[in-house]
This record gives sequence, structure tokens and C-alpha cells, in this order.
Amino acid sequence: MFILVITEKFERHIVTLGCGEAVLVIVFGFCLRSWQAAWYTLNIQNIFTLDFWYSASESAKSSSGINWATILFIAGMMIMVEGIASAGFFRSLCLRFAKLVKYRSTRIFFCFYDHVCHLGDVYR
Amino acid sequence: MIMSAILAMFIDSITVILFLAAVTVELAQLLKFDPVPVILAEIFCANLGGAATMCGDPPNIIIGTALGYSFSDFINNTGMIAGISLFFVVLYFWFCFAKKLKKSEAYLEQIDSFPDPSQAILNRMCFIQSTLIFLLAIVLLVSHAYTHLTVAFIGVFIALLTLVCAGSQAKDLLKQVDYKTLLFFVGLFVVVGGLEETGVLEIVAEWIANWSNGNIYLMVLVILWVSAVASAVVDNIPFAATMIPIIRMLAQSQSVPLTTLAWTLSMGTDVGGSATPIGASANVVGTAVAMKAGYPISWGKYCRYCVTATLLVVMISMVCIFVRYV
Repeated sequence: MFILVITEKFERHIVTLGCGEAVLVIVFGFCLRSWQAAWYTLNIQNIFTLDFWYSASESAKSSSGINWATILFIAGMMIMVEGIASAGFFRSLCLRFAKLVKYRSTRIFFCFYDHVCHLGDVYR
Repeated sequence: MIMSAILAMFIDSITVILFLAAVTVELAQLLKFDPVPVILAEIFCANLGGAATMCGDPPNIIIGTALGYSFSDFINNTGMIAGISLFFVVLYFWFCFAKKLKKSEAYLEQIDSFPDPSQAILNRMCFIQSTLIFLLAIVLLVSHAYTHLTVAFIGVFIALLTLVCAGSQAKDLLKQVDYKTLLFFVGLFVVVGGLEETGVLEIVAEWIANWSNGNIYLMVLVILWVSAVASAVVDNIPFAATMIPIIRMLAQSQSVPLTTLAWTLSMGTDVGGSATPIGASANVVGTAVAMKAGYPISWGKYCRYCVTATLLVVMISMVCIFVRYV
């Protein structure tokens, strides 16, 4: 899988999904003959537990298999980022930011330094 | 870079990169500079910043909760190493990209007028709503250790809130989600689950115990470098989870301070994940944002800059751990 992803011959999601399917069928199905292990790796049952949504301890994070918490979290953040981007949030922020550092890409690279320096100039 | 590291100390590095990479692409399109160097530096610094605290990176959450360490334990130990490393990483990336970025500044003279920031806001109500949702997401993420709401809950809640506020535009937002990256994660987790179920990760961990044979220098050396190399190619979350019982066992049987091995594991898994585009979730998300905006980052390009930076930070971490703890 890693070799196929590195060579970039195919789209990476196709590579990981294909290899994931191979792991489920070949490793769990034919080699281990354990559909329970396959079900455990798919980890769907985890979504329907209280610990998945509200947890007093973080130990649930160490469960193996598909980490649906990470996937749902990323999906949620993607929707939020698309939403605030469509409202002009990023464009407005980046223009303000670029103005602050006088539109110089080298300064943008070190953004925080320049932000601090600029504030220092203002108070001088 | 520094803003990326500081934000990642308190907010999940995935969110930091989603936010900063999007801003960087916008700036690059306006100022006609290549955003790839900036995004690479941001990804690396987000991972490094995440290593400084207990809530910054998922391996730290697992290590901290499993071994009973607090936020301040991390900031006083891995935070110190991450701070020293950040100084050298900033110098390294500046050395790599300064020429390229300076060249692009020549374009500035050709621009007669720059757009007014307020013109970017098309609908003031939507803008205020979006800003409030974003701030709410930050508050929920920073406080989730106290509220006990999981990141899954926060992600779904914020997504639903965004879709409700978007109204008729909700369908368009759902269409713009990068489903390929989500499917990539699903496949990756299944393959790593296979490695776990077949015991491959455990064999690696047990090998460390046998090979070091009680020598603390060797133990630190092996845990740090094996964690870094393994995290570069396998997701660092399951690796950290597998390594915890091993370092606990090593500390008991070899009379080695558990804290020394815990900080070593933390730095190895957090920093090692920066070496390749799939080593940590933030890398996958950052390269995906760049690709979606028309700036693909190949494995070769990514590794050319980030492998050297990773080696640099692992070396600094090794020296710090040897000097302070051994």
C-alpha cells in the first residue's frame, strides 16, 4: 500500500480502499479466518456507544480499527471550513493579514513574528 | 510557522492546518507566490506545536491518559523540547525557502492597488454567523478535556450548526467536502488494523525490549528512532497505543524512569509523523487542501524538505532527553 501511495500511479483513496479490502478478505478472511477480527477492525459498533460521543476518560481513543471519531471530526471541520470560506471569512482575514505585513511573502512566512513586530511599531 | 505551532498547542493540528492552509492558498493566489513551501512549514510546525501539550496531538492524549500525566507535565517536558526544536526548524525552513519567496516579491511592484479587506465580506450576517461558529469550535476543542465531549461530537455538532446556518446553501457545502480524503483515512485505518491484529506492531515493540537489554541510552535511542520511523509510515495513533504497555513493562523490569520513556515515545511518534505526507492526519489534510487548490505536493517534494527537518528535530530531542533525563 505504502509503495503504491508513494508512486502516485493511482489516486491514494483508491489505493488504501483497495488494500483495506484485501486486508479484510485475504488477511482476516483466508489467513486468520476471523470475521470477528474484521468486524472489530471496521469498528462500526463503536459509533453507537455513549463513549464515542461523551467520554469521561480518553481511553476509548486507543481502540484499534477504523477511527471513526477522527473521520467524523475531519468531515465536520471540512464542512465548517467550507461554510466560513463561502462567507468570505478566509479572504477577508487573509487580506487583512497581507495588509498588516505589507504584502511581502517572506514576512507572511514568519507571520507571527511580523504580527508582533507590527504591534510593537504601533505602540512605539 | 510560529502561529501554526502556537495554535496547534491548544487546537487539534488537523483544524489548524485546515484553517491555515486555506488562508495560505488565498494569499498565494492574491500575491502570486508558491504556497507549497509555506504549507509544508505550517504542517511541520503544527505537528511540532502539537507535541508540546497533552491535547495537541492524539498520541499525547493516549500517553497522558494511559500513564496519568497532566497538561503541565507535558508542557514542562515535551513543551521544552518542542520549543528548542521550533527555533531550529524556523531557521531550517527559512534557509530552504527564503530565496524562492524573495523572488516572488518582485511581483509586488507590478500591483497598482491591493483590494480592500472589507470588500471580501459579501454578506455581513453570514460572516458574523461563520465567525461565531468558528470561535465556538475553538472553545469546544480547547475545553473538551473538561466538558468530556469527544472530538466526534464536536465535529458533528459544528457541521450540523454550519449546515443549519447555511440554509439553502447547505447542499452546496456538502458537495464541496473532500470525500476522497475521508475514504483514504477509512482504507488506511483498515490496513493498520490488519497490522495490529496480526501482531506486527507488537513484534516491533517487543524487539525494542530485547535489543536494548537494560541500557537506558539504548532504550531511549531505540524508542525514539523506531517510533519516529514507524510513525512516518504508519499512523502514529495505533503505534503510540501499542507502545504504552511496552514502555510500562520496560520501566518496571529494567528500573528505568517511566517519564523518560514516555517523553521519548511522545516526541518520537509526534515528530516522526511529520516526515511523510501520510505520517500524521494534519499532513494528509494539508496536502489535500493544497491539491484541491491546484498545488499538488508530490511525495518527493514533501519528503525532500520534511525528512531533513524531522531528522533535525529527532536529533535535538535525543540530545535534550540525554542531557535532562538520563
